[in-house]
Amino acid sequence: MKAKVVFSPSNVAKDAYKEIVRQLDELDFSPNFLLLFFTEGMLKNREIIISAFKKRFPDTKMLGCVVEAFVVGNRIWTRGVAALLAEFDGQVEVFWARERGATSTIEKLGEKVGSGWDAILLMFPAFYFPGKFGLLKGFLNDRRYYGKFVKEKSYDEKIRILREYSNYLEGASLLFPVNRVLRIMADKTGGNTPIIGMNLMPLYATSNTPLILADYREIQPGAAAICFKGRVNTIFHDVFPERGNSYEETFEIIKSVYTSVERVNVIKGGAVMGDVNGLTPTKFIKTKIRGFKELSQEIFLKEVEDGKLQMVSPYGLAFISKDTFGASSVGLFPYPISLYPSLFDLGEVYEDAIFYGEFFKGGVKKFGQIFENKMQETTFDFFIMDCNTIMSYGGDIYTLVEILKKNSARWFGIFLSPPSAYLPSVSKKYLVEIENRICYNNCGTSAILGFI
Amino acid sequence: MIQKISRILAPLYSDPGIRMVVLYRIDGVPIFTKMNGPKHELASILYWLEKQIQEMLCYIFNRNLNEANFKFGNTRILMYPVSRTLVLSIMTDEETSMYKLEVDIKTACIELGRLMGYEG
Repeated sequence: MKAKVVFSPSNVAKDAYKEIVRQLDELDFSPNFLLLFFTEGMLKNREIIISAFKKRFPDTKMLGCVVEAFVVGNRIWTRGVAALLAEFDGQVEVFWARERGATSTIEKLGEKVGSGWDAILLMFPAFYFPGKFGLLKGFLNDRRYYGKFVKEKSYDEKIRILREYSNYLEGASLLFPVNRVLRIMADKTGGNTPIIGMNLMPLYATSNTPLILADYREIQPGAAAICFKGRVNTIFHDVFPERGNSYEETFEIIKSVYTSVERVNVIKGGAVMGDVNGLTPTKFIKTKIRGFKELSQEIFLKEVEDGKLQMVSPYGLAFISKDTFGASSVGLFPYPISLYPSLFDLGEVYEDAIFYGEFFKGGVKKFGQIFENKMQETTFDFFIMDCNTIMSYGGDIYTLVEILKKNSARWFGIFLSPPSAYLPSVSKKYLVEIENRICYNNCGTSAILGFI
Repeated sequence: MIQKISRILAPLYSDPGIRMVVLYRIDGVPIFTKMNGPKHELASILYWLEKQIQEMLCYIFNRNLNEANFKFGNTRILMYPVSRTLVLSIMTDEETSMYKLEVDIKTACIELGRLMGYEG
């Protein structure tokens, strides 16, 4: 596959534009697909960059979003813009959909994509941050449903109310539960195609994000997919040991992976938690961790407006699946809400969850194993790395570049929310396999599209 | 050479959250300086830095100190060795994401090291 990465580490629009145009002038092939990634600092200046690409490649299949950082050659930058332009030796298409509600959007997208592809890269917002009015509406509904939830005495009714609230969040296209999205896409695309999920969730949230670009259009809160038919491999990796064969076995494994582990009881319905050990999830986290700053609704809104609302927490709840005994986690942060959305459907997990503090045994090298595990020689690797590594290891993420040099011919990588996957055949007992062949966790996963 | 250094450090000093970027020689002499904002506001910190720099450099080069980090109110100063003879110092406000900045400083240090023919 012919491929070229063009980039600029500058957040200054005119400098970045000049640099990108200069590199585009040197391009000696006609790309049939383009992946365009902005860092947070370039979000405001995106139009000028998009126009540079659109003017030259109006018919090239294009997908784009905002990333935390990118890897070009031996360098990692958390600022500027980067794009992969490639001439894939096969069929490549981009599809997108934006309907009323998360489920309808994904169903529609799945119908458009259809079956027969060899790899699908699926982009959707795990949680969508609307404008100020949308957020205020969200706060009001949180209070309204929580009022109903606390008044209700029956356990079954409490769960029904949580499901109702979960349906409201999905219906408003605010929440796209990752495992449900992958399940729908896998069903609609025949179940034989591996799907890598780019379940977007920024490190710092701001209004009307995550941004999703499909064929140069901004489609958030919709979803988009780039589909490949030809010589392409998908590789998924998690940094965890394999899961157990029972709740107790997986619980012991989680205890060995994380710190400060404690078993807790959660009342949950749909993709929403209402109660952790008799407290709201946010009150629960406040009793555990005193270092978190208090977030009032006003501060929350201000931080979203300024793009400073932190979305990553080192504390969370791990839920064990009744189907697979795999586990996925929800990060906990003391947001000014009472009912707490989860980024995955909690329908088929045990009520006994595990509170933990995040800690990766093996350090950053564990994340680099994905490159060492490549089974086939590739000519170009596009990879998605868990952006939590930036928070955990800072400049030490350069270790990944050293591992890349030994295991890849050419590459381009992005640091993004940890990718999910639907895998038609599963090579190991992934701890994060929350449903059969569906893997997701809020940290510790990575993926590669390897072009042969 | 200064132009090449400036090009490498441009992504850092063009960020409004970064108040100053200085590349120091081992004897404490700045060989490249870029400031964002009024110089008189940064003068006292620069004066303090000048007094500290030689001792810091001694620690960085003789005792393998990997980096140094100081905080004055809402101003943070970071110092990273680039080579056996150069140290990059960045002054930033507290709103800048330190995790991400650390990655970009490391990238700039690698680029500068390569420019100086230093392989680390």
